[in-house]
Amino acid sequence: MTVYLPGDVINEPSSSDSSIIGYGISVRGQTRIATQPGAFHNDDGKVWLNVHSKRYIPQEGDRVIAIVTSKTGDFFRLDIGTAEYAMINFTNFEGATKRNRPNLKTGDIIYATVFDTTPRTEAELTCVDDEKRARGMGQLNGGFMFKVSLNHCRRLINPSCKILQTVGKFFKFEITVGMNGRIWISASTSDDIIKIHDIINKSEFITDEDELITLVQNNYTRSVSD
Amino acid sequence: MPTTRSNLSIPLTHLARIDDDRMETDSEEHKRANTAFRPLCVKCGVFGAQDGSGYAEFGNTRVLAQITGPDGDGKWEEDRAKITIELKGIEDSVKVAEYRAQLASAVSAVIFASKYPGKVIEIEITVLSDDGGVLSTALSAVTLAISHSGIENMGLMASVHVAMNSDGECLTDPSTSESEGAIGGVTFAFVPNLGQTTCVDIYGRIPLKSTSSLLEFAKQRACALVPTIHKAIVNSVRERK
Repeated sequence: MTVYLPGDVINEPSSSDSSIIGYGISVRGQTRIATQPGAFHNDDGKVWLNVHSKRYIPQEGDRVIAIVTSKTGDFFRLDIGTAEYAMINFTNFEGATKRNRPNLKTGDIIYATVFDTTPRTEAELTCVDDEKRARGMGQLNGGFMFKVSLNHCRRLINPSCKILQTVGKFFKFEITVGMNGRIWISASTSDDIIKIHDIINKSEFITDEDELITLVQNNYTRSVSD
Repeated sequence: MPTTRSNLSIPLTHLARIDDDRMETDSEEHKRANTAFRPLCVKCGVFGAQDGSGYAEFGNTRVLAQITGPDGDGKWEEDRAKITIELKGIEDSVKVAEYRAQLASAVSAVIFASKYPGKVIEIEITVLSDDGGVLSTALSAVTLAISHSGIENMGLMASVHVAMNSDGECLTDPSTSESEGAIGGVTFAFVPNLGQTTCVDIYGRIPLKSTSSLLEFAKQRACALVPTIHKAIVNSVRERK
């Protein structure tokens, strides 16, 4: 694992033929320069730096967890953790029509995709894909939402990450991970939710699989009142 | 007895002012080489709740920097970010104004402000104790805080305070007592990968012919500090990977 710091020129041989340049890397002429400190990653024609950050900057295609703050006309205003509020049109929900509007109230949580991030305007979200299907997006009912670093969210979403698989062996739960550093979990009991929340928070700095299993086992057996 | 809870990851006892008697003595065994820095400590990521934070300590000069943002501001509608500096812990209002201007200028030179249009980046700098070289220590703390915050920037700043004696001899990172015999000095900040100088704050009565040698010496000492700052940031990245 190579760590690059702002201003470093990225000379990885694998990065020269990659077509997609991701987070933390800027292109000046033919050279690729790091603009944020992070660990270099290269996968399937994509290069990026795994940057630790708490402040989310919206990017098109990101799936985020948003909180409804108000309704203005045909739009709902949403808090996605950015500098400004985001917007979502009521028609951007599965099965929504002029008459059949989604019943969202202030404080409701939704899972949506960022589809427009024109500079100097509010980001616009949608809860449907190109085929007008929700595909898991929409309102999240019940459960518990909490915040972690953006880096940890990206790690949890990664298919090679063993954290959620390991937790799944001990607990029965639903989880939604937003790229904006928010995680929503739902389980059969509030005790399980508290335990899963603790495991996810503590697992941020654990890379060893055995250590991870021990952490999950300890949380599984302990009483919440401890 | 009530306790004060803090998310500071440096023991608070380490931040309290400790008067270093060694610097006051004239004994040969404690005299530093002209190129040596005072005992230093730099940390990237001190607060958990802040967007970005950094801590720098050179001898008895200790500075803490915190960054909030990029945040929205209804009044600011430019096509680049607005960078605001708040300086605490210095009583002299003239010095505060000078330092704020230098810090704002240096930070604006490295941050990609155009990537955050209409946003505000607030930098709060707290001088915990001042024993000479506050501006250079503050610049180091701000560099670490910017790296921790994830705000896109062009490179890391290395800054140093150098004083010059009447016989033309340069002294790296002098304390207040060591600066007493100096005719002047400079706070110099440099971005090595860009080859760009972001801060030159010369004070005192330095002869014109000595200026270039003073700046060259300051540049060399700033470059010598780069590995230390790099190490602090790499350690913080490795902790979180």
